[in-house]
Amino acid sequence: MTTEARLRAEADHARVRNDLLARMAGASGRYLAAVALCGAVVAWALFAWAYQIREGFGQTGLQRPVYWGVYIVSFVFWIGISHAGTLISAILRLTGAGWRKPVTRAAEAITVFCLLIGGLFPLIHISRPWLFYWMLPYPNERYLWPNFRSPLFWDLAAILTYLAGSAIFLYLPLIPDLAEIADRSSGLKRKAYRALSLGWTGSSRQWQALERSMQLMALVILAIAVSVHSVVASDFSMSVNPAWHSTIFAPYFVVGAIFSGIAALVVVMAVLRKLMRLENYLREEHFSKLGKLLVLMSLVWLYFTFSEHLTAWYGNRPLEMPALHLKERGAYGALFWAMVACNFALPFVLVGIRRLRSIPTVVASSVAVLAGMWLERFLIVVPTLQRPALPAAWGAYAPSWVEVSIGAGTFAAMALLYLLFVKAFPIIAIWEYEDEAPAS
Amino acid sequence: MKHLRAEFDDPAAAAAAVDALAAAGVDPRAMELYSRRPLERYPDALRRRSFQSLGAVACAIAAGVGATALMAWIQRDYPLNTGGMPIVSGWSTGVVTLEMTLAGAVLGICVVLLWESGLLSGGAKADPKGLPDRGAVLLVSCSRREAATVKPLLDGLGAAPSDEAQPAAATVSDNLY
Repeated sequence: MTTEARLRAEADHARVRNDLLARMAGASGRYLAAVALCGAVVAWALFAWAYQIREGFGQTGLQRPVYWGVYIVSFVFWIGISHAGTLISAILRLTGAGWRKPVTRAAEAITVFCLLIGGLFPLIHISRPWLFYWMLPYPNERYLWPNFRSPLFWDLAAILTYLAGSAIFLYLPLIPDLAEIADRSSGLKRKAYRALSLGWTGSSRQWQALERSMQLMALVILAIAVSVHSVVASDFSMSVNPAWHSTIFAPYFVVGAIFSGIAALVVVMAVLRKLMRLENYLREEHFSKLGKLLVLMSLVWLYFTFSEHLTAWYGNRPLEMPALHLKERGAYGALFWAMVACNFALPFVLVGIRRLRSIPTVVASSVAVLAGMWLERFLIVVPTLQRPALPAAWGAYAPSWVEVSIGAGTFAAMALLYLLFVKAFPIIAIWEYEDEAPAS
Repeated sequence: MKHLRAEFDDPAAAAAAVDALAAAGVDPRAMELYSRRPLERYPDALRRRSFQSLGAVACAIAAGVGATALMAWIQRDYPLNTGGMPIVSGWSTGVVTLEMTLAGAVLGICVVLLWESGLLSGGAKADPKGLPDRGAVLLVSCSRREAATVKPLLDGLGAAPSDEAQPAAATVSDNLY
């Protein structure tokens, strides 16, 4: 790099740093309105949860034979979305893709928040959340230990590991930026950021250690992410229920998770772009590249879905066919084909065709994919339970207002966490950002 | 003991200066480079052997073995009805073993990172307050007598042109920290 180019790059970087830090200061009316709206929805969801705890689990639509409904669907959905951070940050970091830099932190934050929200659903679902510690292996007066053969215990181990790993994966590259904020703050704020930055001074010793650890963390977090969704899939595939007992479920769930994670990242980026006026940082090329990844994962998802259903249909097992028919042609037929349209047809047309590919079409496809992936989780969980082996035990399921409120509240909670996060921390990694400076 | 502070506009010149000082006999452990961003190339004299991979593997093995041993003991301590399947099975405990192994690796990376970077342990030599927006700052820990030798060396290194276009501006001050 020539001196002129270096000086220009350094001046640009200083401008970008000041620009990004300035966006954390103050709060516009639009921002406050968004926080108030999300806060109100979250408060309503908390009320619904409190109502369920007080009145009992009968307030949900869950009844024999359908004991898993919106809560478990949402659990699988949110854990799936959490793969956004892993894919974008870890894979692209390991492959040295430079375009990832403006989107890395947004993706890592999605992972942590989704895990916090997704991990809440088993607590809601057990109805008595204060007894959750019975899942932990601790010496107790009942002489009872958890059942390590249960996939539900595997869930606990996997999600706690993933949550801890993701939080660290988010925190480590934040440290230099926290020190930067501390340097530019005063009083209590300075002390708080200084403490969070662990006394970072920017020495070469620290930079070398941080860069090494991020490479290693990227490797480990990838393995954790794949294992987590495989474990979530085992909640279903380890049972002998029709349409669940499938060897393809673990990779099928991992693919769906990555697919929905990319879609979530695109939606979050689009919202941040508008809300924080990040048009110069989150540019069309980022949406275009993520759009291409979305189409790729859409095709992989279609392949897995086709394989899964073809195998079940060809087997023609009396136990399996009622669940398959209910899903494809029965009461859930419309939802099934809506899922295919959302997860394949829309992204393939809107993003796959180059002339149609733009920020609005990538965002619209991503919203469709999120809806489609929620439907996919619903169609995996509910139809199977409605059609158990004994026809006399067949039943139906409709979620109650409590379940719908809590389910909707988690979307608001995600938005609220994000809104608070972007005001406390730079949403683009300042020290990593190496792109062209904003035009303005 | 005092710190000599040298500011370089060009991080590459700073890295070269560190190597040159080391070649001139200055103890590498007495030098540290500070910058707001990671350097493209770290001076050879400041490259340190890392134990992060080793720490990650060691912690991963310890956590995996520990978790497996705990599960095996617990399952024997309170045997559940397994319907004829083994009380302790590698297949089912293997999942938790894998997760705990990975958790151990994460823990190992963090611990070694904190150790190697000097964070938390106060291992940073000094805090070069007021890092410039560009370039890098070199701090050299030395006695007053050594400073008399090192300072001219730094002056000379800073005056050397960083590339064909423009000389690097190196300002050397003997601020006490």
